[in-house]
Order: sequence, then structure tokens, then C-alpha cells
Amino acid sequence: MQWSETGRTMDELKPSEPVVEVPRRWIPVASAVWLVPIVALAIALGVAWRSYSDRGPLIEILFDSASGIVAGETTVRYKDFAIGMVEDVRFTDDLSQVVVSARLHKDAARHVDSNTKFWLVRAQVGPRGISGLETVLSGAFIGAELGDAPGAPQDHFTALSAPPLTPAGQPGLRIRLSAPDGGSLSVGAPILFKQIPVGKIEAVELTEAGDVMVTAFVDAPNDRRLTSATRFWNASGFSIELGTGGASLNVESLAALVQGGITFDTVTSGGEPIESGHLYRLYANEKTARNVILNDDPAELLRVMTFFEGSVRGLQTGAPVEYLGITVGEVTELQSEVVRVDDRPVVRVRAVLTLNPARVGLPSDGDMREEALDLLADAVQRGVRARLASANILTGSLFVEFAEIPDAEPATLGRDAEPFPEVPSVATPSGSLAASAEGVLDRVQSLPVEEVMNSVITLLGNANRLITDERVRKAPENLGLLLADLRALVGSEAVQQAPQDLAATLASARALLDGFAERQLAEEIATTLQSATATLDSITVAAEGVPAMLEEVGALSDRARELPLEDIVASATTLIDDVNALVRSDEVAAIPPAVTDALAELRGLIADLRDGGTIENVNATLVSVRAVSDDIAAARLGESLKATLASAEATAAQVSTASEDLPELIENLTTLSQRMESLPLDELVASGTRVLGTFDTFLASEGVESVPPRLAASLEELRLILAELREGGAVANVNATLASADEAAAAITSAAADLPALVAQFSRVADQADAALAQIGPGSDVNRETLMLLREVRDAAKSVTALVTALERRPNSVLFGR
Amino acid sequence: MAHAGNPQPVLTARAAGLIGCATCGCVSRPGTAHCPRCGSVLHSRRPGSLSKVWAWWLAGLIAYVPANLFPMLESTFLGRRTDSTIVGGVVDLVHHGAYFIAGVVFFASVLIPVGKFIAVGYLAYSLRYRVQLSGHMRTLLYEVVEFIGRWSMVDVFVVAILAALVNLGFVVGFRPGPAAVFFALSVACTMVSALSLDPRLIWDAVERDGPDHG
Repeated sequence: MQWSETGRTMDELKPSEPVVEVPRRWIPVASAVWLVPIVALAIALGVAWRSYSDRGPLIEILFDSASGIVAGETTVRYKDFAIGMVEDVRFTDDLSQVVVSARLHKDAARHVDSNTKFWLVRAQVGPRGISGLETVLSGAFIGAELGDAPGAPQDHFTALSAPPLTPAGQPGLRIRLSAPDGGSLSVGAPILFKQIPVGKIEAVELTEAGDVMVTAFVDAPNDRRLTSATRFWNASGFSIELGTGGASLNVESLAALVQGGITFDTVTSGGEPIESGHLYRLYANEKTARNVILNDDPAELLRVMTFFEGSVRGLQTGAPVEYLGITVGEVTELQSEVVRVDDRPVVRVRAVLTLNPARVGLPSDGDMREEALDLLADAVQRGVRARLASANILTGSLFVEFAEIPDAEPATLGRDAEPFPEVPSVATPSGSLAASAEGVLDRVQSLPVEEVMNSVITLLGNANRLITDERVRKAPENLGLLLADLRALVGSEAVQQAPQDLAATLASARALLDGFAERQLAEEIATTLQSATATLDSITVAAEGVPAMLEEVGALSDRARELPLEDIVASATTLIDDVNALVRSDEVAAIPPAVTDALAELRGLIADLRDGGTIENVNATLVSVRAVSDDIAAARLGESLKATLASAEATAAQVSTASEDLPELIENLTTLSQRMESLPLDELVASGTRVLGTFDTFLASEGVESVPPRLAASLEELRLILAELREGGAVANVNATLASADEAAAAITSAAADLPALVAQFSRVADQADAALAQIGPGSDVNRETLMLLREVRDAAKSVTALVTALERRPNSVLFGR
Repeated sequence: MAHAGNPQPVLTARAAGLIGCATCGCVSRPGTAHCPRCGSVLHSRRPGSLSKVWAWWLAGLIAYVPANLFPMLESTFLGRRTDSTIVGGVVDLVHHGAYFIAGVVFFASVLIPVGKFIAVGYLAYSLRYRVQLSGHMRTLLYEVVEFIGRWSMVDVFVVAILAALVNLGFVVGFRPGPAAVFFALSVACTMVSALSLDPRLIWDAVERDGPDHG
């Protein structure tokens, strides 16, 4: 202002003394503005601290390949909830594996310990369905399974190659199956029960010993079906059975067809509940599993040995051991050895039999082997021996049988024998084993078929002739005549008179008795009665000994009751049946005509009798009898009777005297009954049974069968003889014989006529069989269809595989194309 | 430099014992509290200017650290979540061949903020200590910083627009990350810092160091 007004030059211009303010410090200590960076710092530090403290631990997971794993994108999930994020993927030092570093969330980190499992979850398409489809869009993730029980802390893990099939904590039972081979089983294959999946195979591994060990998990509640008696068998693939019922194709399920499968069932009762990790045997198929005798638990098996002298050809290890027709074990070892008998070397065969005591019905508690040995020892005492028996008549295979030999030499179970207890054996009846198919065929061949046929033809001819015979038709007529004759006989005067004669005889007898009364015989009788009374007294005294005797008798009757009457009755029934059959047989049926003829003869005989005046003879005889009785009455035989009664009285007195000896007698009786009791009634009854059986066999035998024909023939002969006697006509006989021959010839002719037809039929059958075989031969329709089907299945499988591979490689290729 | 040849010495209001109004330029006598023309508070030099500059500058710098460490943008694409930081986003864009956008983002989000820190810091430093830089260059630097500072908000705008416009649920979606807040704070702090600088201090420095200096 000043210089502009005065117009002085710049140099002259002297600015007024500037108002210099108090110099300020550049950085005032208490300046409020410095709160801003402090607050900013505090916020930044706070956020940094928070993000640091929220970070969980870093864990490392070893993978075989990092397929689908992307650092910063791939999450770690438990129950589909993210518990971490992959931060880094790198190789191990030797490049063999991939190390995935994942940052876990703090909350989940404390559950990650040595029980934790990790695996990669990707989309999978398999025979059991499609899984992990969500990863198609979101990408693969690492699945985690946190153990339910706390374990040791751990931060290095090795990933599972596949997701665990059974989540931890799932109710059920984990079992192990030992199998000779894998049998096309694969992990994830179903465990089937009545064709319904109840579990999965978790692992198929080889053991050190070279067996296959299958680990499987059976879900609750079906795990309760597993007991120690459960059998498992391989249900993989399909089976074709050709039998009498035709062909059948069995497929358990598609999954089982592709992946294999295991089926189980409880084949015997009495199993006990099992615990997790129980070891089972895996059988090759259902038949084997069901038929196998030896239990899984070798501790329950009893091994015994027995020696056979002579050839055991046809006996193989695995052959069954039967007792009472029930398979109780199998032959597990066959070995020949040399022993010295009377200083001479003898070769004999040692068979080791492995028995399953549970098969006999012994309870599974307690020491089963000892009980089984006791049982066996007792059986040997009773005569049970090991012997060979024929199992199959065609193949000649043998099995070992514990059979009760009735007259076996006494022997005991060699419990102390080494290495196993020895069961005594008996030689097999020679010839019974030689009954091979050839022998059967020989016997069939040697049957007199032609003769039988001839006999049958003759029989038929005879029967035909018999029926068509005029006289047979006349038989009823003859019978009528016979009856008429009989009526005439009864109506005849002489017969009418017979009652009158009888009445006269009775009158004589009454007169005789009246004579007795007149002679006061009553007193004699009274005396006699007194003697009898005395005798009775003695008997009463003696009767006191009776109860003891009755007891003995009771015991006797008890024993009688125990007798195997059923067997006798059964034999008797069989006998009756046989008799019945016999009676029903045609031969017996042929008897009536003969009887008819015989009746005719009889009638003739009776007629002769009538003509011969037999009735008069009878009448005369009756008259004679009456005369005799009259004579007796006249001879006053009463006197004699009186004397006789006196003798009787004396005798009664003697009896009375003798009755004093009755107690002794009863004692003797008692002793007798005791002795009777001790008698081998069982054997008696057994003998009776055998006799009946023999009789039965006798009746069933061919000889007896031939009896009716013989009887018929005899009757026929009788008839013929009678006929000849009556008619003296051999012409008819010749005629009949010729007719019979004629019919036989006709039968042969018709049979010969049938022969070409038969041959033609055989030819047709052979043609059909040929055609049937040609249908399934190479180049046939069936064959071609099957091949085409297999090719289509293969193509389909390839397509599915391609889809799966594509999905596994690039899940989103479904959406975005390749 | 352009003024290097100016022979005439510059007389500042302060040297003339007067106070210039920072708002309307009216010169008043010392002791005047308010500008008689526009009523603004009059200071010969704003008190604590450098102190404010340094404080805001430091706050901006502090906020810039987490702005680069934390993810700026959380993008979800078909269920896949991708977190990208500022630099990471630029790298991603380069990988996708979007060089221009990558350049813009890199310029606006990295070069400008970093350059601003350096410029403001350098200016403030030069006012306190002797630095070989002409007064004109300092003024130029100051003006550039002032002008371009607001453009560094481009990244925040991108995030805000994306988050607001593109939200298709599962298919694609964007959410601002924690770095966005810090980046915005950082930019704001540097702007305040630059505003806090009283440009008249530059002249004092020129006076002090001499116009030829540098």
C-alpha cells in the first residue's frame, strides 16, 4: 500500500516489518489430527489380528493325484459343510505324490485328529448309481470324516483312495470273510440277504498267507441276522443250471452281476450273536455253503481216526461220515501205513474223520468235544463200528458209516490213541461194495424176460379161456342147484326126525341124573366141598406170597411192555399188506372159478351122498347113540359115579394136604417168573421181529409171488382133472391149448408190428435231440443272439465308461462342452 | 524451470506483511481475522498444515496395506467363489487377455495411489527440508496430485457397480471384499492429506531456497 502510494522503486520499498508469528513446531505433540493415523493403524491392526487369530491350523494331506484340486478353490467339507480351504498344492520330494495344504476353520480344527480321514469327492457313475453329482458344477472337494472318538492331534494325513463306504458311527456290524480267491468281488459290491442289499463290501485284500480277506459292513438292523451259524457265499455273476426241470438262469442283481456280491443265510440253528470283526468263511456257491459240514470254528470239531484193512478204492477225502443216516462229518485225511501183526508187516489205511458234534445235536455249550467222545465211546460199547458203505452205485464212491453191528466183537473207543482217538472198524461185507453198475446191469441182463413174457402170455390165454369157458358161466347155476339140493337134504324126513331122536337122548340123560339124586349123592358132594374149602384155606395162606409174585409179574409185564412190539406190529402190518397184495393179485382172482367148479363137483358129491342114503346112516347113528345112553342108564352107572366121587373126595383131601406146600410152590413160581424176567425176552422179541421180517421178506420174495399162480395152476389142473373125470373130454383141452397158442402167436405178431413204429419213434427222438443240439451250436440262432447281446452290453459298458471318464476329468464339460 | 529466467523477485503477501485470502484472493492487513470480502477465516499460513498432511498421509498409507492384502472382490461364478485382491485381479485380467482393462485398473488402483503417496510425501518433505526442485515443479506436482487423486476411486466404483448390478444368484455374483473399504479409506485419507497442504508453503520454500534452486 505504501509503495504504490509513494511511487518509490522496488529497492526503496521497504516492507513494513512483517508480523512474524511465533514459529510453530512442525509436529505439535497434542495435535488432534494425529488421532487419524492412530485410529487407522488400530483398525488395520485389529483386522489383521482378527483374521490371523481366526485362522485354523494348516494341515497337509497326501494324495496320489491332485485331480480336480485347485488351491484357493477346493474346499474341505465334512457333512457337505466347508471346514477348510486348500491353500497350496505341491509335490512330495520324490514327485510320487501330491501334498495338499489346507487351512482348516478354527472350529473344526479341534476335531481333526488321528481318527480323521480325507478323500477326494468327484462325480462317479457306477453300477450302483451316480454319486457326487454336485461336484460337476462346484468342482471336486475334499471330503472329511471326523472321528467320533477323540484321538491324538495330527496335521499330516494320507488321503483315502476312495470315499469310505460306511460313515463313522453308522450302526451295523463289520465282518471279515476269508475266501480262497477274489471271485470277481469288488469294493462297494452289495451284501445280499434274500436278494435284498443289506450291506457293502468295504475292502478286498490279499493276506500274507495268500488268502483273500474281504471286509464288509452290514447295516443295522439286519446285522442281527448274523450269528455264528451264518454262512456266506459268493453270489457274483450268474449261474446256469441244467436239470430235470429244464434250464434256469440265476442272477442275484445287476450290481452283483457287474461288481460281484455276497449272499448269506443262516443254515443251521443255534448260532450265537457275533461281535464286530467276526471272521467267516466265504464259500464259492450256495450249494457248498449249505452242504458244508464242518463248522467255521475249528475248536468245535472232533477228529477221530479209524483203520480199514483192504481196499478203500472209491473213498476220497471230503467223503461224508454218516451216523444214523445223518452226515456228521467228513473224511479229511487218507493215509496208508504199515503195522506189524504177528511179526508180519500189514498195510492198512488210516482215515482221519473230522466230526462236527453240533450235527449230532449236542448242545453247543460246555466242552462239546468231550461230550462227543463220551457219546462215541458209549456207541462203540453198544456195537457201533466204522465201516465203508457205497455212496453211489454208478461211480462206486464210498463213504464212512457208523453202523451198529449186532454181533460185533467187543471193542472200545481208543481214546488214548495217537494222534487221534481211534474208532474200531469192521470189514465191509464182501460183495456189497462190488455191486457196481456193471453188476446191476448184468443182473438186469440175466433176468428171464422172455420167459416171463411167455408165462404172461400163457397166463393171459388161460385166463381168457377160463373166463370164456361155458362152465364158469354155469357156476352160479350150479350153486343154485347145490342150494336146492341142500334144501332138499334139510327137508328130508330123516333130518326132520333127528331132533326127536335128540330129545329122546336128553330124556335119557335126565333119567340118569335123577338116578344120581336118588342115591343121596349130595352128602358126598358136601364132603368133597369141605375138602375143597380146606384146600382153599391153604391157598389163602399161600396167597399171601402172591403180591410179591404179582410184583414180579408186574415187572415182567413192564418189560413186556418195553418190548419193541411196534416193530412186531409193523412187521405184522407189512405181512398183512403183503398178504393183502397177494390176495389182490390176479392169480388169486383166478381161484374163484376153480372154486366154482369145485363147488359143482361138491354138489355132485352131495347129490351122490343123498343118493347113497347117508342121511339114513346119520339117523341110524343117532338112534344107536340113544340106545347106548339107554344102556348106560340101565347099567346103573350111578354106583360107579358114587365111587368116582369118593375118589374125588380123597383126591381133594390129598390136594388139601398138598396145598400146604403151596407157599413153596408160589416161591417156586416167583423164582420162575424172576427167571422168566431175566430171560432175554428182548432177544426173543427181536427174534420174533426177525422171524416176522423173514416171513415178510419171504412173502415179498419172488418165490411167494409165484405161489398164487401155482395155486391157480393147481386149481386149474384140479379143475381140468375133474372136468376130464366128468366129461372125459380131452378134445376141449386140446382146443383150448391151440386157442392159447393162437392168441400167443397173435400177440407176437402185433408186437412185431409195433416194432417198426418203435424204431421210428426212436429215430424221431434222436432227430429232435440232434436239432436241439444244433440250435445251441456254433452259428446257430441262439448263439448269434447271445453274441449280439454280449456285444451290445459291451458297447453300453464302453459308453458308460467314456461318460464316467469325461465327467471325472472335466465335470463341467456337461454344461460347457469339452 | 519455466520461471527460472524471471529476473524479478516474487513478493509474497506474507513478505509484504499482508494476509491473502485463500478463497477469494483479497489481501488484508495483518490482524484481520476474517476476509472483509468473503468472510473466510484468514491465515497467513494455515496453522499445522504440514502436520495434518503427514497425519492423513500416514493414515492413508496404513489403510493401503490391508487394501492390498485382503480380497477386493469376491466373485461367484457357477457356485465357485473366487477372491481376488487388487493386484491379483490385474493379473487375472492380464491372463484373460484384457490388457486395456488391466492397464486401467493397474493405473487407477496401483500407480495413482502409490504415486500420490510419493508425491504428497515428497512435497511435504521438500517444504521442511532442502530439496532440489523448482517451485514451479512443486506447484505442478501439487496440481497433478489434486486433479488425479479422485480417479483412484475407479476401482471402488467398479466394485460398487458390479456388486449392485451383477447379482444373478448362483450363476454369477459379486460382493465387495474387505479391501474395498480399506482402499476407499486410503484414497480418502490421501485426498484429505493433499487438501491439507497449504500451497503457500511452497512459495515460502522457494523464498527460502531461492528461485534458482534446482
